[in-house]
Amino acid sequence: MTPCERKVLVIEDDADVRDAIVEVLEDQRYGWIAATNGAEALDVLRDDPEPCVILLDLMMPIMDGWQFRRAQLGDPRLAQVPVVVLSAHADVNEAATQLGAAGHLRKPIELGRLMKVVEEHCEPTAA
Amino acid sequence: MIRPTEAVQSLELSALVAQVTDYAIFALDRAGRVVSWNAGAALLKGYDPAEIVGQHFSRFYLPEDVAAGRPERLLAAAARDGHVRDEGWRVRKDGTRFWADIVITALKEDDGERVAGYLKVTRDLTERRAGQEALRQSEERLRLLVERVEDYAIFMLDPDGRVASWNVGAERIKGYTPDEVIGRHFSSFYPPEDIADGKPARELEAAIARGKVEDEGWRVRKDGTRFWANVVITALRGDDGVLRGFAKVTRDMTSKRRATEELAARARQQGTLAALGVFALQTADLQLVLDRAVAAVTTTLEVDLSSLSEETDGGLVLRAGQGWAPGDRGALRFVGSSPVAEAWTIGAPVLVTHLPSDPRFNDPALWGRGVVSTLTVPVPGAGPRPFAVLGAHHGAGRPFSADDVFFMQAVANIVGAAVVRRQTELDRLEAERQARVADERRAMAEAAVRERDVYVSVVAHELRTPVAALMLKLAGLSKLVSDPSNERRLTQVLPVRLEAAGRQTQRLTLLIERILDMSRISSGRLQLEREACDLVALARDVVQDLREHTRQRRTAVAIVGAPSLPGTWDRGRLLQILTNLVDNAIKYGAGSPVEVVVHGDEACARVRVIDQGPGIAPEDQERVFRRFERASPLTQFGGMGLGLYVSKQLALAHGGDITLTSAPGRGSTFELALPRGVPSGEATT
Repeated sequence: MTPCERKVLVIEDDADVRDAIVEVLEDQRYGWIAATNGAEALDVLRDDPEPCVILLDLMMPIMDGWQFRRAQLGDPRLAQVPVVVLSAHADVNEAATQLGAAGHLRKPIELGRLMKVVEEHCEPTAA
Repeated sequence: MIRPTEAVQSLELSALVAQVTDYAIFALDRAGRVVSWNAGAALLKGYDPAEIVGQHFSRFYLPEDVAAGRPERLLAAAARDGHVRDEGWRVRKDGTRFWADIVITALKEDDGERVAGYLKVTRDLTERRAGQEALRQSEERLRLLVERVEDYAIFMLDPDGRVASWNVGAERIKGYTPDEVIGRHFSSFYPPEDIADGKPARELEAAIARGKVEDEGWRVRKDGTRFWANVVITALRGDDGVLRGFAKVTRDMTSKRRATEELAARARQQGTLAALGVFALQTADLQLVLDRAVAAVTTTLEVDLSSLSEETDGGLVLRAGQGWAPGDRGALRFVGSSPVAEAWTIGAPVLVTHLPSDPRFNDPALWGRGVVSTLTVPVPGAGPRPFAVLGAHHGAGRPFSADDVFFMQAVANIVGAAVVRRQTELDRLEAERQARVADERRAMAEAAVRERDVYVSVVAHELRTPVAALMLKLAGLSKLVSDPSNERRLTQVLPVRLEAAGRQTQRLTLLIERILDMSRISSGRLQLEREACDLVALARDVVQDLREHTRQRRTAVAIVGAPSLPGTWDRGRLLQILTNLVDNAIKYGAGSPVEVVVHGDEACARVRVIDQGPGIAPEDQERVFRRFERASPLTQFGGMGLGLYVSKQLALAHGGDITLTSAPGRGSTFELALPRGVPSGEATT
């Protein structure tokens, strides 16, 4: 697998939101992996190569966005993977800065912004 | 018997007589002519012997005496009786008069029978006469004065104490005429108790010892009535010091004494009023003020009964009083034509001097207690009508004075002021209470507005996430459609995506339905559609539907207990309740296994949803059933916080309930209990 084939990791507990993001990624031929919370994401990352970007929801059951981010930074293999924070909170900008994130997407997520963020960090898979 | 010749011839005597100047001594012959004339006669009458000897002695008399034959009558009397004495006016030579004391002695012949002549001795008593006349006139004036004095009884007592004289004042004050009283012992003017005590005799003894004694005390009139007397008894002694009797001056002080007593009574009443006024100001309990007021009436007016009667629906009822029977207070009513009711009706004092004979009144309450005189005054209240009636009632005919009426009105005014003060205080408290109620209502209204704002905000937030997801999905689809090169892919994904969008729309509809449930519950418009269903089967359906959720949370859910538990319930609502309970257990159970225990008896079906999660603190257990409440922080988990509230209301609508048993660290158990049949009065729809 070349670096160009790296996937987008979506960590989001709300099935509707997660499905919508995944569909858009699929339509634009990006590879993706999805997890419903931080713990599940760490599980997935154990087997998969590191993703090109992580779209991280903050409020999730079992392991939330902040806990995941700590675990990620503690893993040298994953620490350098850029994170984009997803949140409906008004202060998502501030949370992103605190977490040392590469960017943020305010919910409700606009398609254009989502694509721009993904394009910035990843390349679509070859058809 | 002195013979004239002897007398005249006695030279020695003659010489003596001739020298007497204080008395006119002269002799008359049988016919009354002057025979001899001494120096005293010359001095007294103004005649020389040569002028007068041989003249008739009648020239010494006033013409009217001469005309009346007085000189002859005196000579005749002297001839008959030997001598005669006379006092009267005589005339001097110069015509002036003098008051003369004369003695004419008949001088007899030797035979002792025939009158030889007369010897006349005359003394000038003019000065003495004038002094006596002055004294007599003075005494007469004094007597008249004393007799006419009306304001003082002035009378004399003899040394034994018997009445010797009596003036008009004595008659007026004591009622006896002089005929009735003169000779009577003065002790009859004293009351029996003083007589028994020996007071009359003691007063005379004191007057004898000290010359004068003064006393104030009760005395008795002829008709037996008493009067308050000021008495002065003076002992009267002659020049020789012998007791002649007593002068007694008595003054009727009854009205003065009454005035003094009235002054004292008024002062006492004012003192009582001042004390009552202070007490009324310092005492919040109105009954205490009323009790004190009636006590003041009883004590100050010295009456048998006092009353304070308050107007009630059943008439004027005794609210406070003294002298009444136990149990009268609060029970005794003044009905009919009562002086108490009269004072209330006319709003003015009512004074009755003799109740039994007064045709205006027939009051069994007063009449039955022997009341004769009664004084009632209205007690002003907060409104235009009197608050009550204050009464003073007495058995024996007690005359109530104008002062008594004023006193009663003053007491009534003090009580009235206390009543008004209390009413003002009650009004103030009521106004405060109403203001508090209004404040509470406003606070509740504001809280309701705030709650609605929170509700709207929560609802908006909850709806936004799924709508946003749907929008993103449709935007993706739209982008796909816009590129013709995607046609093959479009054919592939379009049906799946539309179906998913449809499901999402359905979930949104359900969410909106739950929100409407809240509104239905609030307004009491929630309706159940009952049908026969099996609780165990419903539980299985719910767990099946939540499979995705269970998988995500890596939570095992087991259903245990009865294989089947039929009842008559609203299937949709029951699914809603069970979904909420199981979903919560998965959500908040932190991945611990969830157990759904279904069991029941003939009457009641029960579902227990048990998780092994962190549990809920005791102080939070009641809150979780309220609207918008969650035991865990809002930021932690999604969900509207309406679920348990709605579920509990639905259970209650079924005639059942949802209860919680939990402890921190020991998990939570929510139990749904439902009656299995149709509750009486509720039809199956």
